Amino acid sequence: MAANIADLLRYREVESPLIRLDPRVKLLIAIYLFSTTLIFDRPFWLSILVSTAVLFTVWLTLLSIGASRRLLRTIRALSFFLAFVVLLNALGFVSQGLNPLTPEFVAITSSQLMRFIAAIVSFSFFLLTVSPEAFAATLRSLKLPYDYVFAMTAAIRFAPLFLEEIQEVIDSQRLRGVDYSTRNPIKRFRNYVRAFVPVVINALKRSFEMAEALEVKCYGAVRDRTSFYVLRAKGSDVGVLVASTAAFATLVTLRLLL
Amino acid sequence: MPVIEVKGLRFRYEGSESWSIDGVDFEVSEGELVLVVGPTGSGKSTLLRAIVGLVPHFYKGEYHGSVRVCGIDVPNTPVHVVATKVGMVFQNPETQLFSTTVEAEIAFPLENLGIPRSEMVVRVEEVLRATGMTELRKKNPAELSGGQKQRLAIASILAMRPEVLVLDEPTSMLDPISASEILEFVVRYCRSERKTLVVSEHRLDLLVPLVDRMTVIKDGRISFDGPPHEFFLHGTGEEFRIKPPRVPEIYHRVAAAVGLERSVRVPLTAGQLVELVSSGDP
Ligand SMILES: Nc1ncnc2c1ncn2[C@@H]1O[C@H](COP(=O)(O)OP(=O)(O)OP(=O)(O)O)[C@@H](O)[C@H]1O
Ligand SMILES: [Mg+2]
Repeated sequence: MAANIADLLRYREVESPLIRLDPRVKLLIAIYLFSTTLIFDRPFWLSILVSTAVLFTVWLTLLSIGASRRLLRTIRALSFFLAFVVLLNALGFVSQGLNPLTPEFVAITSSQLMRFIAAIVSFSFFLLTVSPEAFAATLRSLKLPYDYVFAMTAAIRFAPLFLEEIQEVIDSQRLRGVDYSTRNPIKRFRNYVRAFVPVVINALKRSFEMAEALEVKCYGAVRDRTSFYVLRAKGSDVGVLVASTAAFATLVTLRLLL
Repeated sequence: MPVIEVKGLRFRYEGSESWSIDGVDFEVSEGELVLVVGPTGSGKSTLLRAIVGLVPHFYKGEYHGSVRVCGIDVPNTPVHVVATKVGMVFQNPETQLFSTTVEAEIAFPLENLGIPRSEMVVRVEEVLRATGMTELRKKNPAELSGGQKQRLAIASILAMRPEVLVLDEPTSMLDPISASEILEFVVRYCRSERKTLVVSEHRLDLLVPLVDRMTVIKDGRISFDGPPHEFFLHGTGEEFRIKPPRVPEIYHRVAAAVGLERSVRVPLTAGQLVELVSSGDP
């Protein structure tokens, strides 16, 4: 499981026009997609239609860079929240004295589920298509303090290492006969805690070594830090920006007229 | 004038009973390559940390004596100032890499120093070429081999164009082949660029014949400081719990077995040994 998450976090460089698109434009498109799913809240058939269109757009973009399977995994990871949405809806119905076992309930709930999925997934348009460097550069261009940007990129850099280590500890303890598939939840929890202790100790040791290395790499030496990667918008970026903004404006107008 | 000047250094880590460095005088001149050896816990790392100023700025404790590097008064100067003159690389490559591409990692210290981008691009190019990593520039460091990772850690330090390189057991987490590649690279680089090198290592075979000087530390004190062949004149350093390099070890065993008189210049490489044997008068 840890290995799967590690894989999700590992960005792979692929050559494609989408990857080359300015990350700020991608962020903006993600926001457009997100807002579109939010504003088309009724009637239910329209919101299902719009959400499906958004999902399809994101799926197609991810397909073009060979990352479409990640979309499925994202949705699977959401399943708990989806169940929660259904439950809340049912409670809402019952509290109003309505019967949740009707076509109306199914229609409304499924439209809400679709909107929820589409809203979350729309950010994949940004998150799964930018390199960590581009991600950091975007955050910096939004004038976020560098310490936060660094913390985030370092987390992306070190998370796979951390997860790999958890897997290693679990594997080695399994070899020593610790049973991670036991049905007893208490035992199981205790086994995981036991695996966690060496990992935490290692992490502490590692953070100390990292601090030392940062020191000799002059972290925080000057206030006006420069950057190696700079975002420069190309003509095509401006084109995509204008087209997507026009499309979004049209959708908003349609919604207002409806 | 020496590049590194350590005088009467004593240091005790905060909360520690004993002196980790207990009266050390240590001078290194420009362009000299020095190998620091000693048993575990003898104070090698502490001495190297004192040269960049991690001791006493990052590691607090009781500090006596003086350390000057490239004319800088180290204990009274922030580490990031000393670090532009003295590049330090540690054991574990994993905890020295913070970026998600090779070129970004090389640029990282330069960004921290606020070096203009145009200059940064030139330096990154230069270091990529010097370290033979040009092909790997877009790679994620997480996907490099251990040896490549350590090479990258060194590369990113070289981007600051330090005058002195301080490496603390740079190969102890690497396989033997990567280890010798790294050490050979470092020695070649320092020789051709006239950089000063202070390196601590447990694997002596490769470095002993290549360095100018060997400094042996025991219990926080320097117990030998001179050319390596002198150190191996009377033995192979077992009393310092050093794993002896093969050639001097073989030389001493053969000499003892056949009752030879010991040469004044102990061979350090297979080539020197062959030369000595074929000259016919060992
Ligand atoms: N951060 C620290 N806090 C307290 N004591 C320390 C610290 N680091 C090292 N020491 C102590 O200082 C002494 C010298 O340690 P140092 O790490 O310099 O030795 P070393 O020669 O580098 O050993 P090794 O070959 O194991 O790396 C040891 O007794 C060690 O326990
Ligand atoms: Mg050490």
